[in-house]
Amino acid sequence: MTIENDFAAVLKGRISTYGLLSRLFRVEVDQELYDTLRTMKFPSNTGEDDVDAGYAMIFDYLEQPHQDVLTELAIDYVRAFIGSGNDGYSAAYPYESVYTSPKRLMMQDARDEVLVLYRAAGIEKKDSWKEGEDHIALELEFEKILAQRALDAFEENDEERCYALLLQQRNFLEDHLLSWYPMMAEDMKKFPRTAFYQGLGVLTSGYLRSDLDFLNDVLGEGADQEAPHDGASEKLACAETDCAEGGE
Amino acid sequence: MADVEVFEIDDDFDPLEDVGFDGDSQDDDVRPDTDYQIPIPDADKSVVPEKRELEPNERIARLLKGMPGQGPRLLHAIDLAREEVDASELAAALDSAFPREVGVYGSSQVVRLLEEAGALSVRVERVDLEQGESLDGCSETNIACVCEGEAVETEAKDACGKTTEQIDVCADASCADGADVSESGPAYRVPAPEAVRWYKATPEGLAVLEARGGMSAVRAALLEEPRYLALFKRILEMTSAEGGASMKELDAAVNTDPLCAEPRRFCGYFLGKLERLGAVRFEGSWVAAPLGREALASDLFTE
Repeated sequence: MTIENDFAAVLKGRISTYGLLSRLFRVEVDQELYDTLRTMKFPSNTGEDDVDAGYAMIFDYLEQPHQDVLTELAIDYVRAFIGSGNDGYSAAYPYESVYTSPKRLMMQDARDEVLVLYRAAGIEKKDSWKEGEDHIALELEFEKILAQRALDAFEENDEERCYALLLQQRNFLEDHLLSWYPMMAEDMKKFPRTAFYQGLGVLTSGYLRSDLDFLNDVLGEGADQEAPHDGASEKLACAETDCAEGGE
Repeated sequence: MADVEVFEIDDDFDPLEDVGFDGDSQDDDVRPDTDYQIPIPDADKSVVPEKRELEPNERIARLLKGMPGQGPRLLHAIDLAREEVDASELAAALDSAFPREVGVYGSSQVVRLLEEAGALSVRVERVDLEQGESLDGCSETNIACVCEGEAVETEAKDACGKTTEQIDVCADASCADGADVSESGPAYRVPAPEAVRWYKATPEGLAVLEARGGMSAVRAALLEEPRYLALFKRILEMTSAEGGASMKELDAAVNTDPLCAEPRRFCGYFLGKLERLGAVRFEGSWVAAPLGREALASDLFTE
């Protein structure tokens, strides 16, 4: 397997992982997803403790015999992300605005900021989505879309565009997801009762950190926060070696 | 004004002087530690009883008391589990017996509640659904694992002679601890096949069923008010007819009866009692349950 193939495989892995995390946060687990999870391969030694712990918790939950598991997970989804109180502290509310506004309100500045970024990337939400655009499922899906575009650019040998997209992902990760998700992750230790959603909290936390490390490795620690420059291709090519060794 | 002239105002009076509280202190929030506690009146009489783990029969009784409208359903679930039955079959049979159940508890929850109360015992078994063989004891942890890029792609057989497809669901010797199998690079784990839960009624559950669920319970309950036996019989006859009976028909047949005059009773009183006993149930209209038909055919109303 060549270095290029390795790098493409890692990008595909990122797309899959962001897609899975986004789906798990977006709505309750349905039969189709449950069946998929039960046949999924769960990594057990990725090198990132939280990722391993999160996968292990979800795996252990799936391993246990459950009766009416979908109802149990649906109840826990509500307990985790919706809650029953109105004080702003009754659940792990999956909105960036809640964690970045003083009064823990939805639809605040953070939502406007991500909306601008989505539109700049040519992405509009579907009409069926009635929640705020700063929902974690959408932010994770945004990362997934950017990762898919980066993969497409890489496969077309457009390294400059690939570099720009990876840089965009890292900036979004730093400026948004990682600026507030750790607080939500703390709440996800408190509100869900099933190991499934507790594990999801831990897994996401670990994965976002490890993905930032990966992007930093690929882009170089001192990569410019702005648009890519002439040396983009060299940096990207240089970083691929690290990526191939580290893997995901 | 006169009062002021009469009383002498002591501007230096400090009500907190005796307790040594200095209002100007910078450490207002720091209270000195002291062993003193305000005495609790009659503290010796306030005894919290030691928490006692309830026996199964107590838990079952409490469950039935807490869900009076679900009594027949709970008892029927115990009845269905006289012989060991798997969870899905039990839930399906319960759904079939109570097809129009509108309570918030699904059949699975009813079974789970009975399990928690001790009316049903459970045995968990992992079964390879494709092979039809039990995998209990295959490994201590029942954790399945595969080696990356190998187990799922090749058809080589492992030391146990099983194909790699079987390795997917059964930790083999190479997966020593049921987990990491590769020294370099990530290993993966795949959830074992879904476990099957087998339920069987416990002796305590069967005892409650005999006491509350059979003809004897119906007989005892109806004979508590022998003067109303005729009304109970009338309701059971009407509900035994094809298509059952509507509430309106039952009201017309019962509410005007002289037996209901003093004390004033309405049809709902009798119907509710029969429903709680499991003798009638609502299926779009009120119909007699098998227990109700049995009661009607017995000598209960001819004695």
